[in-house]
Amino acid sequence: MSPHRRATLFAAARFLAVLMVLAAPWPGLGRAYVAAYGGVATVIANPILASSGVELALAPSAEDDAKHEWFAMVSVLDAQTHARQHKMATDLRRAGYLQMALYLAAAAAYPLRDRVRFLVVVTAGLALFAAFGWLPIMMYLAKKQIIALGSWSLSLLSVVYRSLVTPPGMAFAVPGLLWLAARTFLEKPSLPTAGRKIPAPSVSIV
Amino acid sequence: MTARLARSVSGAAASKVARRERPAFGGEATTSCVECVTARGIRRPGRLRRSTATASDGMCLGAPMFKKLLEPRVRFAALFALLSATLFSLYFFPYAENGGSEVWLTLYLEKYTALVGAVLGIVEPHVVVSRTQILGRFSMSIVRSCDGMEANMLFCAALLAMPGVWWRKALALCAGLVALMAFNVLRLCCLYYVGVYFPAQFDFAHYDLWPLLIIAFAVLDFLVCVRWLQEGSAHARPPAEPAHVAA
Repeated sequence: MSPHRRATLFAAARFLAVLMVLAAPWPGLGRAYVAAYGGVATVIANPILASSGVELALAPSAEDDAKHEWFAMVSVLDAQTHARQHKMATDLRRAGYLQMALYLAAAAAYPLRDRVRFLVVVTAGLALFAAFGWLPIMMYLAKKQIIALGSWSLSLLSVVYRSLVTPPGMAFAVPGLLWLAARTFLEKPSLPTAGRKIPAPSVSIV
Repeated sequence: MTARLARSVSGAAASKVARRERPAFGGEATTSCVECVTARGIRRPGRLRRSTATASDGMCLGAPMFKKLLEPRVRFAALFALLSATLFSLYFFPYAENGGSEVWLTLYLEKYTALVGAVLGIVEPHVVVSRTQILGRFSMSIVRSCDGMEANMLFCAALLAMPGVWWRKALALCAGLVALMAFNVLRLCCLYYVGVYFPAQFDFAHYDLWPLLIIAFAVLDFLVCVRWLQEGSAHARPPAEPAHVAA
């Protein structure tokens, strides 16, 4: 087997292994993720939403509801009275988690040589995919007119949400494309080209 | 003279010389940009022909910024992103519910459902198709993005962004889309049977397994088409002339 083919097979094996570990239905993982995501998200969102007079609360689904383990119950509360005004549920596995799992699997399979650059790219990608969880919530808040968006902004948000989160295939395509772009444009060349000698063309004048 | 300079002096110095040789305003550049030669480190006859860029353009075509923009992979990425964004915006735009676009989309989904129903009907004679629903031992509804449109659009954007002969590209596009459609019909038929025999695994198959497979198939489809496109370009190109050897 050629070294190139062996390297490709190893990369594919690493990709599948990391993906299977991250995407496997581990008991309690969904609730833990939703709880952690909710904690961070509310800390970020509530100061922004303060001007609208509302607060957000993200909580995992009920303990006995095994089917909706990855669903976050989003409550819109009145900032003064803490009375619940609206409630929705969103699947955080499809809106962010799967994309992150794919991205990490791709990063593990084909890492960048420069470690600092690798860490920066992975962190930035994970932050981007974590923001995907906000798309359905933003859509809901905009539809309920809790946040004021113009018709164009709402259309744009809708297109982004429908394109990136709704189709199941995009959960796999977007992280792959992003990592491919990172590899293509940020990876350093394997050999230094500056000092490489270029052979002169063997042209003789007859 | 420029080429000789390019080989003998450093890039920065050479570019200064080239700038001196270029007319200040308006006139046509009489020499190619030295940066084009020094950056590649090798003299290419095609690059050294009289440049068509004029000084009034404000910048030589071989200036670093343009050079980077015209790099094939950058051009491909930019075109791919632009085409994908356009196609996705057209398909997923929130059109008015009773508008013409929605009517067309519904009609298309009904035809798609009829196609899936016809294929399923070969082995499941009792399957009934009603608008966008397939009713049988397991009922399915075909909605937007069940048609694997995201994979189709990504495939189209990637193929159109590739350089190549237009008729080969068009042919590859048609063949690739037919293959993708066939694969998606297979996916829907498979999901029907998963729903019949393993209903507990339906969500896993629907949201996790098949989307991964369809994207992987789209990538494979694209690679096959690109290979075919490149084979066509290789045949079209005349063979390189062998170096002359002194007799």
